[in-house]
Amino acid sequence: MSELSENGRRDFLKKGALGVSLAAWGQLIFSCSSGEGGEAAAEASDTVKLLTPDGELVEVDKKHLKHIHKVEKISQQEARAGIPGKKFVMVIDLARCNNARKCISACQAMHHLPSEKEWVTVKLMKDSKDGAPYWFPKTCFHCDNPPCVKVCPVNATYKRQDGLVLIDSERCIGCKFCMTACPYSTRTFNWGEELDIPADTETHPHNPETSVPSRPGTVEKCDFCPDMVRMGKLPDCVTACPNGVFYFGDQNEDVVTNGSETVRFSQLIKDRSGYRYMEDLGTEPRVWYLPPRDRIFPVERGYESLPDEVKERYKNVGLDG
Amino acid sequence: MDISKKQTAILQKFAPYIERFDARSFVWIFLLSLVILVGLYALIQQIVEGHVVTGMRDNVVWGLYIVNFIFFIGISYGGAILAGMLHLFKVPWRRPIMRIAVLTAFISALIGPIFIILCIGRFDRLHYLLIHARLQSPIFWDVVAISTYLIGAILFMYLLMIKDFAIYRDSDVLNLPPWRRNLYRALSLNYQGTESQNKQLAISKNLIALIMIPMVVVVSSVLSWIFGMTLRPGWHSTIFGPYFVLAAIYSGAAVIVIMMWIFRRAYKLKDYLTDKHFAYMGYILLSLGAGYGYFTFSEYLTSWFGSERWDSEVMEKLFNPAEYGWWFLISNIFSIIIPIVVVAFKKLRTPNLISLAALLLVFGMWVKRYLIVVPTLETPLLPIQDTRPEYIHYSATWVEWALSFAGLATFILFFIVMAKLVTIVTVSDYTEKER
Amino acid sequence: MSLSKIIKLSWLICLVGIGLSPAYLSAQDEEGEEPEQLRTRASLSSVQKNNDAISLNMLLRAKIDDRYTGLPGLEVTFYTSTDSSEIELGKATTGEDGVATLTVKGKDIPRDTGNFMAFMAEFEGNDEFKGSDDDIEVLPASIVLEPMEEDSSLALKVILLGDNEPVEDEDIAIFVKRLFSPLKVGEGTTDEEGAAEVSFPMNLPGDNEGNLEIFARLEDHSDFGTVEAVLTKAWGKPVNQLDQELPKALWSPNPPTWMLLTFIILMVAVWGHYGVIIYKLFQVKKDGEAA
Repeated sequence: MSELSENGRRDFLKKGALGVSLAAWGQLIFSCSSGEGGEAAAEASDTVKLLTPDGELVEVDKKHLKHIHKVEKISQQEARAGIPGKKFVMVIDLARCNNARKCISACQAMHHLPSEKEWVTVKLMKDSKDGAPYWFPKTCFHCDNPPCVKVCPVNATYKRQDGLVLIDSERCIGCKFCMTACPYSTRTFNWGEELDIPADTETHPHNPETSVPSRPGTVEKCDFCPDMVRMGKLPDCVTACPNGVFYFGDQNEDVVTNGSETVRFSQLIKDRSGYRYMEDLGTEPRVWYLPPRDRIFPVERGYESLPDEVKERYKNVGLDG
Repeated sequence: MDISKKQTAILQKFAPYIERFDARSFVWIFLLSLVILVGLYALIQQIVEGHVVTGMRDNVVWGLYIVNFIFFIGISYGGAILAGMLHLFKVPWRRPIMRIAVLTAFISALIGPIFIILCIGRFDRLHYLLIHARLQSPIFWDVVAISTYLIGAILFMYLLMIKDFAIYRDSDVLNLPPWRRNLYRALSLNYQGTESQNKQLAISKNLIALIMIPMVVVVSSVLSWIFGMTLRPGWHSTIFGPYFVLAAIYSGAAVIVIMMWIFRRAYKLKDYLTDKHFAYMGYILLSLGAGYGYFTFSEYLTSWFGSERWDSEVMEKLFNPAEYGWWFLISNIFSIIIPIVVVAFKKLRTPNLISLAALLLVFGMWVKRYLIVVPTLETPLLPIQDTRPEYIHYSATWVEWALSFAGLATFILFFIVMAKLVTIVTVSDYTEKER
Repeated sequence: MSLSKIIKLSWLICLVGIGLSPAYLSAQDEEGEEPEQLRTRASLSSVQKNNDAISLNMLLRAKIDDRYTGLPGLEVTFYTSTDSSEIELGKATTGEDGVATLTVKGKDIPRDTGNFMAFMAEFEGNDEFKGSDDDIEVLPASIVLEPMEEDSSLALKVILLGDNEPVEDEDIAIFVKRLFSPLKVGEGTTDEEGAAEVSFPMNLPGDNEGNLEIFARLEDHSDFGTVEAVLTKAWGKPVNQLDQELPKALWSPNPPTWMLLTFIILMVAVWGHYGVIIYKLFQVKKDGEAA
């Protein structure tokens, strides 16, 4: 105590508090002070029931858990222009995927999607009759020559300078032309309110960067979570994957990371013979794949433990026989 | 203005049909309104519940609505381009057919776009198509094409009616209520048959007929490009433009034949719509049918021979009797083989058989549009891998069927109403010196 | 308002009604079940930087769905302790990842007999979470980072000083700051003078001027914790990160010129015809009035 002057201590406190609030809670504090107070308060009272490891039921305030939605306000111009100086790129390592499906559930939690709706999907692929089956996680490819954006009549889906293809669901007229134009079946449609629109997001301010809240009669898809990226955080599918399948990064920096490893993008593509899916379509995807060579799991591993309903989806590929 | 004896005779014949609705029309109007009401109920369902009430889901995102849209718009384009050609080439037997052709063009052009609106998830945002328009989108092209075309079709129809409106206005034969006389007075634009008026009208008609032909070629190509511009098997085809143009004219011609048959029977017009007229229209059907058959053969032969993976998957669905094989066969027999056979043999070339062939043809063409839209959407490049049957296979719900039949009913209803407003043959044409 | 919304709303009203009814509240009381608190786990770590700053990071987690998950929004108090007393250094709140960070100056921290600095961080607990704490002891240490440029190669000289003495045989890694996490570009082991030479890659993309933020780091040492030094050098390839105008392309908001021209020509051609025709119709009407 003797060496620590009273002034110095106050200084710490100030700096500490300032640092923390700026680094992590800036967004929340900002949103609270900018007139969203009512919403934030309403949200603060939300609790969720959780099972402890000892098997007891506890109630926890939602705000202490992850996936509380970021209610930051990004202006239309910012949401259309993109994050300055970036060119986002994803690399998916097919050798590591064992269909754990954590990317799917994390994405659904992040975007308040019903369980039937998958923006990230995992397909069981088998390129030819005698070829080897492999798990194929698929996000939106955020193409550089996006067929979906070309056909949009109202500029609702658009390509940004940081490479992302997003949808303004306040603009979308629901003509579904982009869904027919996308060769990768990436896009989903909100067919009905009951089916697709979760009540707890209805009051969120709309933002093309969060893709929340959903609007009935409009098109939606994977957005690479630019709201997370703006906070310097990886998209949720990347962090949720237990096997580090997804690498994400900025191609301008030539670096991608899966959360635990950080590597040169160009080196990774070179060393592992990275390729883009259906390159011949000329869509120039921003998602690269590493071929399923030297796999760390046998492909059956991702099948056996699945619930029957999900197993049924992959029946045609014939892993059973 | 002067009304010749011949015209007076025609007016006398048509007087009962245009003076008032008879009991038979009332029955028709009542029945058709019922169908339309069911459609409206379905529409309310769709608005309240969302598009979940349709059979469309994430893979097959377009269904009956788009099929009906192409179908009706195609008929309209066909009616317009035929009317334009018949007029421009001064085809001598065109007189009793022109009115039916332009009415077909006009009424189908009103109904087609309704189906696009039904297909759109947010028709409350329809005006975004104008205020946020994007020139690169084929949908924008289509919006501009259809609205421009619709104005043209209305102008064309109107130009061919002005002289008739003047006749209805001045005729003593017709016993019309004052409001109808006033309506005709307003619509006839003071037409008195002066030389200068005749000249202006003749130039106008030639101009609209002239622009109608290339315009229809462009707008029906634009329609096909909604499909052709995508990277989907069965759609991404360079011949889709001309294929759609020909299919549109073909189905339009067939609907004209059907309407000719109906009015010939209903209004007893054997003296006007003679067997010759049916035979001539039959020849048109035959040549269009041959062209359409050629395009069809060329399109599928190329796909099948090249046998690229995705093309093959769609072909497999179209040729497989367990999937769309029967419908593919029916469509081609109805819309290619039967019309050609019926017209080719003199014995079969009767008004009744030609009209029946035209009816089958129109149905075959509708099936064909279905086979263009749905199987391709059921064949995405990536495997669907879904367990929900409605996401794998499209089957239209009662809502979509109800609205489809409501569209058909509206077409007929509009025709009945228009046939009350104007004579179904152009009376004024019968003064002209030729014939 | 759609039907479904009305249904939803009425459900909500019912639920609120149940929630407010005293009967329901008393029923709860009778059961008298206090909600259990969730157990938390705390881990404290330190990073010593080359400007005498020490940042203390407290990670607060709980096991949720069988996975340890960071808990955001909880207040953590940091202390330093001498042999006799405990001094509060400050409070911080955990962020999205469950980490609360407090930065202090090394010179302000009291040392114990072995020149160790002792830190403690505590989460006191609340209605939902049980409290937890963690403590660490660290010796002061620093890294000196010197750039070495030659004609065709780049390298860094690193000297590790622990408790003001050179430290031998430690692995020091070199990183470059990147968007999400730093990229490791090299590693060296210190010699008896505490020094190591690490070569640096030539072709890394930097910012507009080619600047790179370079880190040397000793990770999780048992005595020193994490020790770090930072240096900014224009050793990267300049990458033009300035935003460019979107090109005229099918996918951009700006249409290709030929497309615009074609559109205008077609529109003028068709609407021109319409215009002439409508003009002629007015003529017809005028002629009729005259006649």
